[in-house]
Amino acid sequence: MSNLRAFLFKPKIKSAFQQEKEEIIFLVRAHPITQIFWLLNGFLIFIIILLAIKVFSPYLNNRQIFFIYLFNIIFVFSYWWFNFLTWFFNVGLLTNQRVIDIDFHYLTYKEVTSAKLDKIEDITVKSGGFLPSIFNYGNVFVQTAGTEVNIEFINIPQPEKVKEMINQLLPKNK
Amino acid sequence: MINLLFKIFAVFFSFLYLLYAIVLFQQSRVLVRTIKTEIDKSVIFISGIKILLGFLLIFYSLVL
Repeated sequence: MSNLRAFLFKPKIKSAFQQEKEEIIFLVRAHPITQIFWLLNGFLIFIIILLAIKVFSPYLNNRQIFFIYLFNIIFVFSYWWFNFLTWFFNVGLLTNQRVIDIDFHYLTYKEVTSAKLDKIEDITVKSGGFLPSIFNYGNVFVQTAGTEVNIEFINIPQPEKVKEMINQLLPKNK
Repeated sequence: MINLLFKIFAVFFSFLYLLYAIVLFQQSRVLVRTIKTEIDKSVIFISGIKILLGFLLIFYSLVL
């Protein structure tokens, strides 16, 4: 179950984008506290449908009421599952050769961005606000040279530590 | 009349749910291929259960 953490050092995972002799040093995903909103939304949807059942129950028979209960439970479960998968598989990876950002938008659109360590020009940490200060999470932006794409790790835990670890792997002459 | 309308809506939404569950199952397979972790089998299993639940909803909505 350690795979469920938001910050994994030397994780026991394999990425389809890993090359030969490429080792994953850490994996990061959004801080769990940032996921609280969809959990609460699920409860809210569940309660709203329960209230709707209460209002419309005089016009419905028992089988129909049971169907709505069943649909409600399955729908909320699916909503949570969808959001869990989105959280779980949107990851940032640091390997001994590259920084990789794997994003799934609505699970159906995949975007993979990577930058070799020697192409990294600058790393910026942005963290601010009430919750990020309490739970120590923020954004890390990895800027690369020229027209190459930049990499963003959004709402990740311990952003300063992540920056430090990437910096340690950068070629010394940079 | 209400019963018929309810049945039509129930079948329609159950069918939509089943389509969604199938898409999610297929995408779960893509996800676990992209990042292989210890919970791959659980992810596929739970996504598969959602398809079964979709069929259950369709069946139940038809016998309403």
